[in-house]
Amino acid sequence: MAVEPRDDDTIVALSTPPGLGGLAVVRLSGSESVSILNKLLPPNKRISSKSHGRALVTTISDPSTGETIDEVVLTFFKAPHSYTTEDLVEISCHGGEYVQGQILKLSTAAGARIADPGEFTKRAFLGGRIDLSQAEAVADLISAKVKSAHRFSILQMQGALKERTSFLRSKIVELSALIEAELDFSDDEIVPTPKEVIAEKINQVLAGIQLITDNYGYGKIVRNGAIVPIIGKPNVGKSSLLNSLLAEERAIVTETPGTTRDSIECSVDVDGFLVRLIDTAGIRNAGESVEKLGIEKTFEQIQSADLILWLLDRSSPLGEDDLYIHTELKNREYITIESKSDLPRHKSFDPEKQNITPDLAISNPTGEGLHELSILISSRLRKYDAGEDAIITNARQAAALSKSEKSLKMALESTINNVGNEFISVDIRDAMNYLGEITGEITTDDVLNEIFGRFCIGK
Amino acid sequence: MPNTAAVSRETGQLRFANQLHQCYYCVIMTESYDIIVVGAGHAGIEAALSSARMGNSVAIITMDTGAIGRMSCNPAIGGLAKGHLVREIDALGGEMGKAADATGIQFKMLNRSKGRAVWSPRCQSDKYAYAEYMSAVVNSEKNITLIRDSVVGVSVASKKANGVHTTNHGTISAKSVILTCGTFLNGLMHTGLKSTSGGRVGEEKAGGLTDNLTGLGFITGRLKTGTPPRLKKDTINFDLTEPQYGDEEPRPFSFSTKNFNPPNIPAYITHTNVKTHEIIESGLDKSPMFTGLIEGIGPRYCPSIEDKIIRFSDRSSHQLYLEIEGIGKDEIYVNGFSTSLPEDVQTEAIRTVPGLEEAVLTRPGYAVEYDYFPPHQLYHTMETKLVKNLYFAGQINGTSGYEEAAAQGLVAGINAALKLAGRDKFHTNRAESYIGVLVDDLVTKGTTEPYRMFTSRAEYRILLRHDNADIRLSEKGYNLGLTPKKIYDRALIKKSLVEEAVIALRKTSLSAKKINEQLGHIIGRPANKPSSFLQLLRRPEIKLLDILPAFETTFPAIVKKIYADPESAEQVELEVKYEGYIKRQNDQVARFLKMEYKNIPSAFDYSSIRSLSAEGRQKLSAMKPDSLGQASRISGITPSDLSLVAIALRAYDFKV
Ligand SMILES: Cc1cc2nc3c(=O)[nH]c(=O)nc-3n(C[C@H](O)[C@H](O)[C@H](O)COP(=O)(O)OP(=O)(O)OC[C@H]3O[C@@H](n4cnc5c(N)ncnc54)[C@H](O)[C@@H]3O)c2cc1C
Ligand SMILES: Nc1nc2c(ncn2[C@@H]2O[C@H](COP(=O)(O)OP(=O)(O)OP(=O)(O)O)[C@@H](O)[C@H]2O)c(=O)[nH]1
Ligand SMILES: [Mg+2]
Repeated sequence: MAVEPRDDDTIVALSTPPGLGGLAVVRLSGSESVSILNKLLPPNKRISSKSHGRALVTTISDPSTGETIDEVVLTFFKAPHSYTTEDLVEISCHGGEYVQGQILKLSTAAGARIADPGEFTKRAFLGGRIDLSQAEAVADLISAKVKSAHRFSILQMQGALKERTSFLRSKIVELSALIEAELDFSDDEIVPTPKEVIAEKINQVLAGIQLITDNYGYGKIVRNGAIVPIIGKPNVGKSSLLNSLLAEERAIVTETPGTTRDSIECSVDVDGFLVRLIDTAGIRNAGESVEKLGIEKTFEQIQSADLILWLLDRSSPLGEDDLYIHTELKNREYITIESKSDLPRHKSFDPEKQNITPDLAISNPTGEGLHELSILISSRLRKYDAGEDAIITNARQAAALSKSEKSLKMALESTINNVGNEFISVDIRDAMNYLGEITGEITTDDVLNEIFGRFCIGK
Repeated sequence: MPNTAAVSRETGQLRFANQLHQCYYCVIMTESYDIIVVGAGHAGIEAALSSARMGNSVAIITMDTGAIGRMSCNPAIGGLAKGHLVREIDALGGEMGKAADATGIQFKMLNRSKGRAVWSPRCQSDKYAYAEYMSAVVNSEKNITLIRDSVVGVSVASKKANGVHTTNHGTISAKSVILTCGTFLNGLMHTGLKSTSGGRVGEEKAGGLTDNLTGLGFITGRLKTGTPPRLKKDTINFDLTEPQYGDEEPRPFSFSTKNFNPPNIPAYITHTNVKTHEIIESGLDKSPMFTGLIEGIGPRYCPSIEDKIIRFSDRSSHQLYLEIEGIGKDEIYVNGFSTSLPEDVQTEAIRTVPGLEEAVLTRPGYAVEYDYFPPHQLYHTMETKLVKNLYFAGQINGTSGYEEAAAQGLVAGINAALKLAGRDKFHTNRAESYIGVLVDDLVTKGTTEPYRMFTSRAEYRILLRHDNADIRLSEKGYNLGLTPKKIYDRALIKKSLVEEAVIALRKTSLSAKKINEQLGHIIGRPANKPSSFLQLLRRPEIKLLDILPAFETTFPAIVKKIYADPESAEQVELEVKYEGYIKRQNDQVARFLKMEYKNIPSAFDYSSIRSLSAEGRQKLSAMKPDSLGQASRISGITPSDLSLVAIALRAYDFKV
């Protein structure tokens, strides 16, 4: 199947370096940028064609869950009065990786695609925005970036990932062959495949994608570091633990609950992993508004975390706040830590009764349990690794995987609803096109080869 | 136009009869033709007819003037995807559909059990009647001269074709040359370990031309195909087989065919068995395929019986179809039993099959190897990139099948004519037709094995249906002067009636009460709210016919037109039921077209793009794509290559 047309769709990318900075700018360019973005905005605060050049303060939320992602400032530049000469929107959002990642994810889900290296500049040039003398520079930029990405992708295409992508490739080709064979050959040449079998095959491909997606998470951890917030109710010893793990006094420690208001991030090597520890504001159901903002931030960090360290202070009673936090941790990866193990257990500290089982106990002053904690953190992070040294790191590839997943789910639904193969095939082909980003281009000939190998065809 | 065509046909025939006059006519023939078509197979016929009908003097030079439109293999036209090609050829004013309608002995719409978007017509033909029909059409075309000879070379001056060299008539000149040599170039036929030179049983091979073309710089390759044995009809016991008839209500291929009432003569189904397979296996040591005698690459979708038995050894039986080759003729075609085993093995194996116990072979099956020219050496017009005014069409390009050949012949003929007239080239793209897919695949990707059309090769399958071929293409055919006005007008009416009906269906609704009254017996659950007719028709269980009575009360005029034209009714139903998918495909097409319309000038210099990858540069320079869209389909071209070309094109625009 042909390379997708690339000059006319709407692209999105982060235009500031990734990571936890102050502010970040995400840009969308293309004829659909306004309609895509508006899907993420509240009805009364959307961009209109009249808003050219004006800044708009609004909130971005996830249309499927209604969850608010961030308060942002949007600036819309109407075609042709923009850098790319297309409709272009700049989104200034908060610097956290979670927020940026969500905005990219939601924009792609709404129809944008992750830009290729140098693509904004390329469009600017194609639109006549930058002059001829810059053309070669743009070209060099594209080829240089592509070359380094290419080198990287060859490197990464080894061992388990290679095996997994070729497995995925063979599965989708097989699936497509079953669908297409019935369309390309008559009933007396081919016995139709029952829809249960088709559904089963679609699920196999989805599982194959899942394996690689899992791996994508791991690749990110290895490259960018694992995001590991330390959470718990106020005064449980979060800041103290951060300091202990860093072996230096970075965070302020006081006896007053609610000391930490703004999170601090520090990187540390834990048993070979780059771990980005985040000290957070203690969670409690009270406090004045500044503290509340800090707590909200903590919840965001819980969402974007790769692994959470949850502290329970054994020297105080287990309270409402602890139980509330427990429910928030559902479906997240976390380690339950009993802190202040040098102090006696409070008589009302009874986590087991609430079905909470601490994984280990630590003490900051004595250092008890800290070594075990390091080992536990690294072993839990290693679990993300679905294979040995397999890594997918490119956001574009991740987007391709998720698009193909979406198409396959549509195909699955059609299959279950007994929709004809000619329609199911529309989605399967879409999925195949997207997967081509990861597995290498899949052509009709690949599918035909499979058909000829599988079915005895031809009178 | 200098024209020898006036004298042509009669003298042409005289010429064949009277060898003595040959030299005299040689002299006449030094006068030139507009276009020479080499070969009178399915490609040659369409090429000659279209260019002649567009006003050119055309000479068909072919080795056997008695073999015009001969079916080398299966006596059938159409089939999945191929049927689409025939309908499209017809919408563009070609001849194949009409010939098939006139000479078919059984018609069947394939894939009827599946969605309409993938239905495809097929017929079995009286192959003798088909060839006679074609021969008569070609002979009655006043602009065509038939010459019996073998072409051994193309005459070229300053990289432009200006005629052909023949064995008996010396050099015959023309402004353009179309080669449609089929399986004849250095043809070598195999039955067992015995090989004979020839392009088709009973016909000579064409020698010399391949060498001449490679001398001009063309790259050549070798392919193979095969055919089953033919059996003597009265030696078959049909009682032991199962007859299979065509459709009760046959549909013609051609949009022009009226009062269609073809015969419905059955084929007969029987099966091979373990005994058959044992005999075939025992003969493999004398198989030219398995002993490595044959070097050419064969079509995998048309495997020989020995191939099937080896590759699918778990199957104890394969289905065979005994097909009548012609009414009142004694030969039976054994569909499914293509083979190149020795004749005695063929006979022995055939006789294990129920009904064929005493069958006598009238001629054995055989395989044929032939030269082809990988088609990436052509532009979309079928003109070669190396030599101007030289066109290749049909099996010479590595395709197989009559329909594929005819489609290319038509494209080549039209373009040769347009070029001579100084008009814009004819092109139909992947979103418009299977012909577009075929041509684009060939010239963009080339082929290393015999290429056959499949519906899966078409990205926009839901839009490219057999039933709307006229709506898609008749305008083009009409503008070329090939499609009759009647057909074009009809397509326009069909199209507007569909639009009108869909709008009306959308804006009229039926109350819940009426729905239950009139459609209660069809719908599952009773309705509790009103629905528009459009919504009703979208439901899988409801057909257009079911709602027409109710619809008639509000829109009697439209309904009357629909009743009068069942084909439009079909279109309305399709447009409504598939609306979502049609829209999706239309969006995809819009994106596809943007790239297709970004033209790359033929003089464009890829070496000027400094950062282009070496592979990208080499492929793009060799393939000379017409557009960014075509460039994107060349294997090995990456998105970044495309970006770089787009940028360079833009820079090029600045400079020019
Ligand atoms: C044995 C056999 C088996 C086949 N099996 C299949 C099959 O299973 N399935 C399938 O789809 N297709 C099959 N085909 C292919 C099908 O017949 C062809 O694809 C189709 O006929 C090609 O049409 P064409 O016009 O390109 O060439 P042809 O129909 O082969 O016609 C070529 C014409 O060119 C003439 N010619 C060639 N060279 C010269 C020359 N130098 N000078 C003058 N005249 C010349 C010949 O006399 C002939 O008239 C088979 C063909 C053969 C021979
Ligand atoms: N005995 C004992 N005291 C500890 C331990 N860890 C922390 N503390 C004390 O507990 C108090 C709170 O410690 P912090 O590290 O500031 O706690 P925090 O969870 O960051 O608190 P907030 O930022 O207010 O949410 C301080 O007085 C610490 O000295 C421990 O392991 N043992
Ligand atoms: Mg603190």
